[in-house]
Amino acid sequence: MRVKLLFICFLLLCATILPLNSDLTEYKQELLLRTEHDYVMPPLFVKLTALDFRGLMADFQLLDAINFIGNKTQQQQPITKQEWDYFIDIILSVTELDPRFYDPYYFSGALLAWGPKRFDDALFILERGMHERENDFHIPFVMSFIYFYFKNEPRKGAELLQIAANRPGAPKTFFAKLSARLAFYSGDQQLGISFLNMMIQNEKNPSINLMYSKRKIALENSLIVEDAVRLHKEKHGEFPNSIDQLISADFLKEVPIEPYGGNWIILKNGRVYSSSNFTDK
Amino acid sequence: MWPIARVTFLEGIRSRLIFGVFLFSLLIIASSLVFVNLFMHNLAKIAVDFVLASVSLSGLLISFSLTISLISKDLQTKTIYFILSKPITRTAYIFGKFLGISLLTILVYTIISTLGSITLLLIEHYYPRSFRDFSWLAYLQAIHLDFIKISIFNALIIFLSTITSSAFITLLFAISLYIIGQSLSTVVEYLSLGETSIVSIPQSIGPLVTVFSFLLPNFSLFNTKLLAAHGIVISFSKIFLFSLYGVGYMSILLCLASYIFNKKELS
Repeated sequence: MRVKLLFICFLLLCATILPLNSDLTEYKQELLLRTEHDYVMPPLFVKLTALDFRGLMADFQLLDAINFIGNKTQQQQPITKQEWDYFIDIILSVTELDPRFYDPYYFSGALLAWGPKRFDDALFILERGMHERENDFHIPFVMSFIYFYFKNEPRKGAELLQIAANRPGAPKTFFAKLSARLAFYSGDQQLGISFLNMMIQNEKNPSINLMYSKRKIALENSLIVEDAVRLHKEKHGEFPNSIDQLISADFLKEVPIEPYGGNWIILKNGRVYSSSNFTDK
Repeated sequence: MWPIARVTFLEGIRSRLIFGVFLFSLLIIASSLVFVNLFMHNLAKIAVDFVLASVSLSGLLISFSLTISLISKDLQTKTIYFILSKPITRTAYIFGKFLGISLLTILVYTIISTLGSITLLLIEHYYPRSFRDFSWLAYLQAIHLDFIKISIFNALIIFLSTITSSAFITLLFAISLYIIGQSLSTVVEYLSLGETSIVSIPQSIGPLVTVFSFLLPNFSLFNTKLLAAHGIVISFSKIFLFSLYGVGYMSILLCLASYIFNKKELS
């Protein structure tokens, strides 16, 4: 009888204590999200303390950085400048620990350029990767894209695409065609859509994929509006002033969704922009 | 020497600690199956990092749990008198202990590396594209050099055990020397950068660091895990030189240990 009583008490204890774990984890995650992230150990200190487990330390540091940004994106919280600085510092630390590790360069190219538009920071990290991974064509390819699409420096982009094309395993023909197209369409949304399609195909993380898909929808819809603006110009000889003018003239059936919550703006030269600047508010 | 080596090996096998080491390493290897899924591209690198870390950690756990008490236990339990009353010299005792613990390390490394290799094959089966740069030769080279490293460390612990009979003091010195041996080359690297280095290290400590880096074992030399993770193979001539330095250094330590142990008054 006594044993049975003790056993029931033990089960009750387990039933009370064990579920606490998930609540406490959730609470701690909330606290961490509210905590200011601004300090990363200096790379030399990390290198010394990692002893002969630098590879493993790099893996865990990168995981920390991805989780941090992933959680923020998933919870639709804005990522501050300070938090992006923190992300960059971790990535730099990871590349110091294991300079040949591809994933930190991949995340820098993908997240820093598309998210906070910190092209120069992304390029600084990718530059290191291009030298450390001298047989990898992906890194100069991503750099060329950033120069073309974001920084509007087609010549620099073409140079990097040439470097990428000459590296082992690179689709030389595709890169050559792309180089020509990029030069022609510099600044065109179609380029961004093609690039995002490639990123979406390679991406396994659903929260980051969500970010890409959202951007892709924004670009596709801006292209729809741009096409309608072009048709209006062809028919009426002038650009429309507003999106309503396109709907009333039957060039658009409805206002395409702007996934960032902004309004479509038609400039005097016919280019289409959004009041959100395609960033989360 | 052989009877001492045999007894040390068998004692190690019978020890429960060895099962703890196996369990710990297996947990790390098994966790690699979960962790690789959290990354994007370099999955082979992540898997190799985990497997080689578990091999290396198992060696360190053997050193810190078994080698530390190898001689001090005999001294404290007075079994040393019984052993030395047999036709066994003190030098044979030191070398026998080292041989025994080395055989045990070989056994543990072989088992854990085999399990690690099976894990790598399993991950390769699911993600063959990630394993394009992977090299089994680089992987085996990393394990070989790690074994040399842990053998030097075992020789160092045996050397320290002959100086002090306290296992705790041996442990403290062993940890310190291991950390120094792993980090000295990084400090030397940063010092050599001089003013171009982003980290300011006082140049006045330069000569001291040079002397230490010459005398103390350079454990980081044998750390080729990162190279193995990226499939970079070291030439056989260099592997021979690495091994020569390692075997030479452990011979010096064991000779010194034998000399000190022969002079030691056992009361």
